[in-house]
Amino acid sequence: MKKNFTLWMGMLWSMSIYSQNLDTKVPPNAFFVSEIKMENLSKKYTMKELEYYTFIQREILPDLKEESFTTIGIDYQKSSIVYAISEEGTTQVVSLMPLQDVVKFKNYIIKNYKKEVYEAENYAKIDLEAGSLVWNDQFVAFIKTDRSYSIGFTDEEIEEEYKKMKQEEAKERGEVYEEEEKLYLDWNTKYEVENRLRRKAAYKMEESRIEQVFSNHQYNAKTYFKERNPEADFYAYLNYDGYQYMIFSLLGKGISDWNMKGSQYDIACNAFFEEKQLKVVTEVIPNDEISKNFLKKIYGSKIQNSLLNYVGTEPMAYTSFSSDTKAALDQYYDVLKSYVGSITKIQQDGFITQEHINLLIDGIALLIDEEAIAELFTGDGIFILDDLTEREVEYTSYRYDEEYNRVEEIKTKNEIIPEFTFVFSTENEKFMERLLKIPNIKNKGRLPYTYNMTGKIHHIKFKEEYIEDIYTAVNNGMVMITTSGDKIKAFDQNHKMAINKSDKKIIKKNAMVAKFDMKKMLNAVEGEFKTSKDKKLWKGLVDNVGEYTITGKIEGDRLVSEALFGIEGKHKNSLLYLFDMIDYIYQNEKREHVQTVEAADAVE
Amino acid sequence: MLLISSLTSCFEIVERVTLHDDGSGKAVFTLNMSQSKTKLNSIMKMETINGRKVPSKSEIQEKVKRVEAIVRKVSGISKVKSTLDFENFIGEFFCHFTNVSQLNEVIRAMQSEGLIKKDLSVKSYAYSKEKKEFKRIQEISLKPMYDKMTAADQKVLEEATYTSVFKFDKPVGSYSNKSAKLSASQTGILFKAKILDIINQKKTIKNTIKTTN
Repeated sequence: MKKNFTLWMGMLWSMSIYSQNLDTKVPPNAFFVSEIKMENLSKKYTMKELEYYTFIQREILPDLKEESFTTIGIDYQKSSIVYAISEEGTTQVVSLMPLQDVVKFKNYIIKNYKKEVYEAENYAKIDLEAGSLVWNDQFVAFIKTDRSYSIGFTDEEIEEEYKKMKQEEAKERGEVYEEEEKLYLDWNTKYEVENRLRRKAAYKMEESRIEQVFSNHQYNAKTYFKERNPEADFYAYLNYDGYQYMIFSLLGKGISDWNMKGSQYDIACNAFFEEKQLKVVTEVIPNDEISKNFLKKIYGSKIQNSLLNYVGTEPMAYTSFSSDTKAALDQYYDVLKSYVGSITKIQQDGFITQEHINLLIDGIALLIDEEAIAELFTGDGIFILDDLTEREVEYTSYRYDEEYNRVEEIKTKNEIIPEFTFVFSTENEKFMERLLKIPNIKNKGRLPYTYNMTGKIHHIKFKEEYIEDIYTAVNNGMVMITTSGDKIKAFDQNHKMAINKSDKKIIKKNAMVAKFDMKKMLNAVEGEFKTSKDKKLWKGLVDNVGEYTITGKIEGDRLVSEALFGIEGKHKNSLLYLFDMIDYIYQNEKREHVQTVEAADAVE
Repeated sequence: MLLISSLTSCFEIVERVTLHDDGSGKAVFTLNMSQSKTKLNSIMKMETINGRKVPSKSEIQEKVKRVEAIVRKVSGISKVKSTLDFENFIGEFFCHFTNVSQLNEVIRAMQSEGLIKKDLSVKSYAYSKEKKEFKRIQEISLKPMYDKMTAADQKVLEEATYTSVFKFDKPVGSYSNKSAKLSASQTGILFKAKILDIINQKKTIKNTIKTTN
């Protein structure tokens, strides 16, 4: 029940509509804010459509003990917000959902939880194991508080709490606690008492959060919502500084002192459930000049045209990147100085100054020859998954003769082997040549591979390995590492492979591209789906999956990436596509489950 | 098991016990991962996979030697031997016993040395000379352990098989496991099943076998 309530809360949250009101409940020091905008989403489905799905009819609604989502009292026409905040060693996740009918909601809660409702002046509340469920006439909040281990307790606090604990235990037994003369708390008891103190502290923080959420105070957390696209169905904003603080405080007191102040980047994300694809746009927003320059210099460069000659017209998947290694390394020292210098512990101790840090990092910079590294790897390249092919391999198996003596036999089976090519730019061909010859130097017959060099092509042949052949070569300022003998020959002889116009365009326009022909990939691994359940799953996936493309480039000061997840088959839109697929998988699993149960019963 | 868990392919476990009328005999246990040998060849070159350390050949050899040493100390157990074929990824373990129940002591000894899980059944074999009755026992259900496994680990078990061959001096008069089959001379009995079917209790490895006098 609790598990499904959480699921239901998640669904409700993901189904409410945009509203200005709940925005003002987000404190400016939250490190994560997200919103599901139902005013956009509600145009993409009807409640009847949702309630028609088998998994909703058989699992969600019966568990909610409701026949429809509409009887719970939630307002599905206004937006929901979830934010996370880290303060005083606690991390809280606050989910806010608008209410349409508070009476319906209260009845629903009383019916399902059978718990006493605490009525305060501004709100009503019940305590759940996972957190507090609190509401007023307008909205409901679910507040979950985790107290980290970063803040410890003094011996006095622990001893005081231990006595309270003992008093309570004695009272429960109808006895009176007699104070021990000298307290000795073993490790386990101390841990138990500390946990008790943590729970109490978390409870206190939760109470204070409830007061804040249900007060009339309105925050103006503009920063969090300024990147919100009015057309988006989902929006999220992460303040990296706050997120980092949360992670560091989770790690413990000693480590949290090393927290680095001064956020370098924030991340904003807008998602759109379009008709034929799910689109997710993510922006990395630099907060200072150093970070701006870092992003621009790394991702501001163009890919070398000749690298595009080896993509081919039918790649299964590829990923390209164009960055500037020299600029990145140069800039990295500035970033490092600023980053290390911002560590709270260093600032507090004052033993090491920023000048010391600068000196140390400049010293490292002297030792590292950025130009030499940048010459070797200029920073652009393409990895291509050319194909997934089947190969017949032998293995040892056993059969038993009529007297059950074991007879060894050799059988064969097909394995899926990846065929790939990695090609990248270099300005130091000579050194690269020396690197590619390393397998020859090391081997001398001792390792399970053979090495041959034909012309400029190096060939490493492995025995009974997942990948049997690796070819490498250096040519025209490029290095190729591939499993294809034909491709390395083409590379060596300066032959060019054709490339689709659309692939050429996106690779040249973007600093990063990752593209997956999901249908082709699934078709290639069909043989791996062996059971009838798996085969049906494969069929459902292959008939409905489209192409996945992720691109990223610098726009202004920001690194903007766009992920497009294409869909196929008959679906109203990409939102209902997700529900369709969940329902398909659910029904497929359920069918198999029934069979298993029947089969197991038959054995008994 | 750690290494097996990293695979998506299959493996087979074979248990062969030859039992004489006086309760003595020999046992051979085989782990055949030959079907996954190309993947294992690649995995063996890695330090870790799925967050778990991949043991080196020498570490595996060392562990097997340790097992041998522990088993040798068990009273009544003799001619302990093991083989490791890293080309085909087949491991075998051989031993002789004066009473089949000593194999239970082998399991207990390995458990106390932390070489196998404590929650696995210790009492696996029993033999009564008087009744001429051999029992293959399975006291503990494997289902709870399976349910605790990650989805990836569960996937590994999908195609895995278990085979047992028990041989006797005299023909088998009766046996309880309906999935088992008798040999032509009726002195041997074979049982083969998918490990998943055993876990899900569709099939059982339990068998009570009585030989004729």
